[in-house]
Order: sequence, then C-alpha cells, then structure tokens
Amino acid sequence: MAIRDLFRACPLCGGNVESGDRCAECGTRYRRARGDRIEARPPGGAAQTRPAVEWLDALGRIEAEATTPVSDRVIVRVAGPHQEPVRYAGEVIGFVEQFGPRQPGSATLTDAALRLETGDGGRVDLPIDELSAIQPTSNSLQLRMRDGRLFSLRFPDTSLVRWESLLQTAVRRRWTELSRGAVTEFLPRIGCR
Amino acid sequence: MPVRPPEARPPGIYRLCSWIARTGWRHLAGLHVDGLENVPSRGPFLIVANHESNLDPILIQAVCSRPVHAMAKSSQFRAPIVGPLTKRLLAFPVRRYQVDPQAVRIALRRLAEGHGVAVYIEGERSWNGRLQAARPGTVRLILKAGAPVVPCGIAGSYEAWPRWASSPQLRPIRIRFGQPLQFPRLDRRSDREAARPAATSRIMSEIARLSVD
Repeated sequence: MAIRDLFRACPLCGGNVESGDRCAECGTRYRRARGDRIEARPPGGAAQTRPAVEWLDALGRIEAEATTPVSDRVIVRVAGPHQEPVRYAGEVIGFVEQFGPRQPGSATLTDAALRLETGDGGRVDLPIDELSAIQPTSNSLQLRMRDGRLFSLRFPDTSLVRWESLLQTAVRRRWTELSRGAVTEFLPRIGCR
Repeated sequence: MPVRPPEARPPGIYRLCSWIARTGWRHLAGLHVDGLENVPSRGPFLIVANHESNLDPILIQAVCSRPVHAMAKSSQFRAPIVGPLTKRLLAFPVRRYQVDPQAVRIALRRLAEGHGVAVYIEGERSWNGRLQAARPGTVRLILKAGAPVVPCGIAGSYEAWPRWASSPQLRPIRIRFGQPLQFPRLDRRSDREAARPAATSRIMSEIARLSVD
C-alpha cells in the first residue's frame, strides 16, 4: 500500500498520483508524516501537513473523473475455477482462490466494458453489467464476474482507489441505464435497493 | 469432524504471538484496554469490532482473556509465511467477493462449540479512519447465531498503521469492550431481515461510542 492508493487524484490539483507518491500534473510529492498525517510538498512551494482525512475531504471537492475511456498499465492475474481448501487440525476451515501467473498489459475502461489486454496478445472484455463484485485488497483490485470468473488487477502506475472509484461509477451508470436500480453495495455482491 | 472443547488452550504459537503483541505494544507504544470483564468467562460470544488497521485482529486476540477465532480475508491464506501462521492463530478464511457460506458455517460451528469469534462489521479496513457502514451479511450472521455480542471499539490503530501506509508507527492504542448485547437467535431469513436495521443501529452506536479516543 502507498499514499497513491489512498488518493484517487491529487488533492491539490486533481492530477494522477503516480508511483513514488508524486502527482504527474503538478509534481507535488506526498509522504507519510507522524501517525495519520500526510505531508504534501509542491515543487518550489511550502510543505503542508494534514491528517489523511482532511486531504480526503479536500479531494472530495474535486470532481471524480467522468469521462471514458480511461487506460492504464495493469498486471492481471486470473483465478482458476478450482478453489483450494484450507485445512486446520484435519478440518476444512474455508477455501482460497488460486490465481494464475502475472500477465502485464493494459486496462481500458469504456462505458460498457473493461478491456484487459496482455502483452502476449491476449484480450478479454469484461462487460460492466456482468460484474458481480468489486473488492480492493492490500495491493490489487479483485473483480468477480457473474459467471464466477475472478480477476486480480494491480496498477503499477496509479491508484487502486482511483480504479475502484472509476469502476464503481461505471457500474452505477450502467445499472441505471438498465433500470436495475441504484447500487448500494459492491461487496460481497453488487446490489441495489 | 474434530470438536474442540471450549476451554482448550489455544496453540502455543497463538499464545506466543499474543504475548509478544500485548507486551511489545504495551511497552513500546502504549496499549490501554478497558472492559475486559465484559468478555464472557464461559460459553460462546461474538466480538464485533471496528476495523482501522492490520493491528486490530492481532491486538484484540492478544488482549482478550479467552481464545478468539477470527474471520480473515481469504487472500491472506495464500501468502507463504503469513498463510500457515494465520490459521494457527485461529483465523478462518472468508471470500469477501461473494457470499461465503463456508465462512458462515465455520463461524456458527465455532460458536456452537462454545468458542469466541471475532468479526469486523465494516468488512474491511477504513481508508480514512472513520467508522464505515455495517455489512448486512455480518449482522445476518449475528442474528443467526444468537450468541452474546461484545461490541469492541479500537482507537489509535489508524494513526499507528493506516491502510495506505506500508509499515506501522509506534502509537498508543486503546481497546474498549462494551457490555454484551443479546439478540435472539432468528432461524428464519425473513425474521432476520426484519430485525436487521434495529440490530445494526444498536451495534454500530455502541462501537461508535467505544471507539472514540
């Protein structure tokens, strides 16, 4: 996890916070200060230190991205249909998904689908209305489809929360278009009132 | 299927990790615990807590007077060292991207065996340190179980290790256990749905009160 995973955009200018916790637009660098405080140091400007929640409140005043398509580098892993049982003291205490190899590529979000293209020429379109859950984990975003497929997406250049927010917005819009209702939750499954 | 006696001692690694976490954090950063007497001395119970940090499950287990089984995200069990350790710390996996009947079964089984189970009602760590909405599925589990619910509020763990930080800082943490809340066991889904809003409100208001620093 990194500060860029917290910010869907730079709280000072709305730009993309990239790896190294640096804004690609205004060049502001972010770093953790004491406790839950984050220091922002704009190039040539004075550093500001505020609690994370205050930065998030400032970010709330910056509009979420509304335009598509959006594209970013991604590392994709796909879980196979087999889920490994977890045993303890001879008892099956649960099941764990098994992901395949990491495949670097790109993710492109349009109004209707998320397209994943991998370096080896593989391509898969995930229709937005077929998503059944969106789950952020420690370092990736997991997408579950209605047919049971599970994808793990890691974004090396941008914020996990930004992509979570983009996908949630896309799902809300699509569900409204399909008259399914207003989405109220994304886990354990996308649901509406 | 092995049935664990309620008062069985937890594995040695559980006791060791609990001692290290409790003693270490208390001396290095400060660990304040209130209301431990509210954890039932016998019989099943559910600890229902807020979730600010990766430290929460470690410290709740460490300070609790009885062994606590806990739901943990399934991805944690895939990790090479953390995975085997997690199950020895009495955690069991929950697949959060779906309704996971196996996780519910294990939680109910542990309670039926007379154990304590910890669940995090928000479902995931908070990004901003504020209390999030309750997950309906957790409240359904509580109403299905009918075991005493010990509300638990953690304060300071977000400052120590927020979700967006790669490592913890030594900051004081306070854990408060509230008086047990009793909800009737509801076997019918329609009854659980009818009782869910009031139960959610009661539990969340207790957690909000207990998690104020």
